[in-house]
Amino acid sequence: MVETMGSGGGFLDYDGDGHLDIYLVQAGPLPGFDDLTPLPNRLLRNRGDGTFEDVTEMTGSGELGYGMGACFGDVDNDGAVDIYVTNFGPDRLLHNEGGRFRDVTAVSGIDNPRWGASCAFADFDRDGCLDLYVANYVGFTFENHRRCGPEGLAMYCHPDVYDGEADRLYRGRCDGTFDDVTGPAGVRVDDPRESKGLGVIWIDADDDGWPDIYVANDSTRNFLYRNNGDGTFTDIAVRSGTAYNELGFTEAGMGIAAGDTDGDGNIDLFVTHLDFETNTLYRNQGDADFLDATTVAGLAGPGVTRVGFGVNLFDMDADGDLDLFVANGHILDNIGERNGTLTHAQSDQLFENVDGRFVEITRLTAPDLTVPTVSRGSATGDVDGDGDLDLLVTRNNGAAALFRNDSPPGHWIRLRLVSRYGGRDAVGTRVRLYSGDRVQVRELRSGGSYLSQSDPGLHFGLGGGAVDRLEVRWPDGTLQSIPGDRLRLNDETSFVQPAAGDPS
Amino acid sequence: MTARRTLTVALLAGWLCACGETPVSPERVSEDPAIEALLLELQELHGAGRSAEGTALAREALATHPDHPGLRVALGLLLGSGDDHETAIEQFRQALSIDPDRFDAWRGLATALTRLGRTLESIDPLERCLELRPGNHEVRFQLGRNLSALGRYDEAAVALRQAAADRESADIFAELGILENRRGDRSAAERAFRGALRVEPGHRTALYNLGRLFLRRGDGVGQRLLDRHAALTTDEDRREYYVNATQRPGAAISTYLALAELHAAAGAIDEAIDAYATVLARDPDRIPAALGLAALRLGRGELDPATGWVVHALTLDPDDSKANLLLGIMRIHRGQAGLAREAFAASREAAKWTAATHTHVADVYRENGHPALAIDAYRDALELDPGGTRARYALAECLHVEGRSTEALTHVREITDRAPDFAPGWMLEGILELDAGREAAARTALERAVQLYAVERLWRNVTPLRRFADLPGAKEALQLYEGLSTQP
Repeated sequence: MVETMGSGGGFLDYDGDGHLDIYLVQAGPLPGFDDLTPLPNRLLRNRGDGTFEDVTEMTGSGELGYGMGACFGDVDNDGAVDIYVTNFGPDRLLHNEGGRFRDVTAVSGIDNPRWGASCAFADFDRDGCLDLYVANYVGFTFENHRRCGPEGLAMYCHPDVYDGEADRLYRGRCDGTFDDVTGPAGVRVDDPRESKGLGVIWIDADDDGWPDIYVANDSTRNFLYRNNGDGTFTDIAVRSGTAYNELGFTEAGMGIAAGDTDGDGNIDLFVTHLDFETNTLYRNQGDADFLDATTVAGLAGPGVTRVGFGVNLFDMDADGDLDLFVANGHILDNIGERNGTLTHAQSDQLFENVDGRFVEITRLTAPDLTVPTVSRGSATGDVDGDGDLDLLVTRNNGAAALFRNDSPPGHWIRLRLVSRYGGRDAVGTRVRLYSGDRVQVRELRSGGSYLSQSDPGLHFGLGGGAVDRLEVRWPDGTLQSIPGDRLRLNDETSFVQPAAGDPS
Repeated sequence: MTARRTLTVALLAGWLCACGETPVSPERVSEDPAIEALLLELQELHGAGRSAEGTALAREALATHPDHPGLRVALGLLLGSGDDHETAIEQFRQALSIDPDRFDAWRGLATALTRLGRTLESIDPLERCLELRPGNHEVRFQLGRNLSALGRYDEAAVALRQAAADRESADIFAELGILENRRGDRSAAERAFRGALRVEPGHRTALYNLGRLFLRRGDGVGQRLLDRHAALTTDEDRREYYVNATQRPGAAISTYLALAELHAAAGAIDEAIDAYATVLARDPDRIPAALGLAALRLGRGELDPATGWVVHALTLDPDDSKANLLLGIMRIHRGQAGLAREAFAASREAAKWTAATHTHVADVYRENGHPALAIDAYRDALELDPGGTRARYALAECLHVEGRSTEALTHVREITDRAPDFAPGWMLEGILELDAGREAAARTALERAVQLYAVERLWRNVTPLRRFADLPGAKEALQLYEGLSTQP
């Protein structure tokens, strides 16, 4: 079962040169394999000219576990991004020491020997140190492995066959070490059967300045843990409308994207699912009250024969709204033997946001994405510095792919933020951009999608417009207003959070 | 030939209904006995979940009978059950090219297109179905649902309302609710979801959506509806898990036992009995299975077989607490209350009873005409759990029936104080206040009952008004209640 679920990867700037590098997670040999050659994860350095070089060995980042996913964050606020890798087996924390990585798991206080899936950093208690949530999947082991599928056809098992594994929340101490606060924080479930996490994302669902956690569970109800602001969380998924689809049924949650899809200033959630389920759009109507808007947004039909995993909401064409990418690939490698028209490899999908409704444009604008593959993770980032967001897609048992975005240039800005009182990464910052009568909102986050992480830099497309002002809410809750003339149009602008007492 | 045709029609009807389809038209059934036999076999394979075999067989037959529309439709349905809707569509289209008025082919085509998310394309086949069978409410329901998915809300509402008029179905009401939700009309959505719950109190979609609507407007009853939905969902998930688990080779006895308990909790009594029987066939010494069977048989009023299973359990362990408890309950049913107390004593000696057990025994005493013993047992329950609303409410009812209305009112007031959302408490308080001649207080209590009742009744899946009608002094209170509840 484990070999069909991974693996992921994402964008990070490990050497701080301003160019996005790529980290790819690899699985490896399993008992019974003929070739037992280990497969280290790979770190690819962006040379700055659109090409990459493999720096795995020289950076010591080639973790050898049976890899699933990764997320990135500066866990000790030393200015260098660190890597957390989820594995089928013990996860690993790789500390960035001037461009070389050291495995500090043993001394970090993190001990997650389970089947880790997606992970994400945030500063949930606003103490300036990054904390970590790890979504664990099911209690599959080689010992309890079961044979599934109809007689004569062995297939990977449905997750119902195994109990779930409780997720983990680790509270950072700012020195690269963590405390397991899963129980005290209240992010645990009594019945482990309920917890089969694959995707996780931090969002401020109720816009109260405290990051909340959303977890996509595979075939059990999803969790939305509202941050109570006192170190504890309350699961409000059911009452918020994000636990089930609009029919009140569970779905097979995989990846998650978060963003404002209808321009109302609230962060919505989009969750990918199994075939013959919808990928589901939960629209936030404010105060963490969500409505299943899948059908209204035109998303009920297009993915129904595909199994969605990685997912990203990003302004592909810089026109000022969030478009959608879904990475697809069936779980069952032999699905074709059971169903003549379903395939293991499936085409990915790209959707253009047209006034809050999504229209598939894959064939029209990105024919390369229509080539059937078994996609899993996905991430966005501007690897060539041309101002539009490119796509990284990881594949199951296949080479990852990087898709360069060659959309016609529109106006855009990108923000790099450094927090003074929150963690340096400024994870959890929320920015509202005002342009005429339009408002765009972004949150700076780690993790998301499926087993992956996008570039945390905040990218705003402007169409033909300009920026009137930005409102920045830093992770510690302080607000800053930035006039539009302080921004460099079609370029990146960096901001350091003002010191207390400084004029904003 | 007539008899065979009828048989085939019936079998096909059953087959198609199992797929959520509508029965095939009789005039289109093959008159070739060999093909009829084959269709029968295909149906059996389909029913057994062996669609791959059925598909192969249908393809083989089509090689020699390529123009047989019934075989094409059968193949399409088999393919659809394996989620191969693309190929199914080809088969339905070929059937229609041979016989353009074939209802089941249009219906199959519409279903396959819907499953593939090709909603817009499914509208024409659905409308064609309705031309052929205007009274088919299932097709009209599907048409409404698909129009709603396309955002054609006005047309969808017309179709769904007509489907609801043709047949009172919780699914149709729930779909109407979803439609109104999409339109943003929350009060219309609420009415529709209430309608669904009136037809089917455990309808998951309606419970979930109505619960959320209530919560949005700050009504605490919403949380109870959501809790009910979550419990149903969890139980259903667990049942599905254990059903799958028992289908695997070497499934453990404990798996069947767990499944039996979940079936029983879900009210699937036949399935629960089968599962318990499987356990006992494999291991006759499983006391929980014997007692499970005894309880289920007793619930059906089958006193003799129930007693047999209890005796079987007691043979295995004479001191078993649950076995002695059940024995006592059976003795009450047999009019042997004295002997029952001996069995209960043995049960309590083996294990301490919970408040729920005392309450259950009290219920049995009450149902069998022993109000004084029931009152004692309810008091025992409340001693262990003073907050037990159900036990206190039942105690109050018993006291009222016994003419001890002042005592009853004390208990009822405690209920409405502790659990102000418990509608029956307000109802009974209204009755008791009227009984005591305090009309203003009765009116206040009954007004609260009216506010809560619609949802409470659905949640509890009972028809309490009928039950209240049997209480002394209820008539006037009910008249007042009806008056209040029909006010705008």
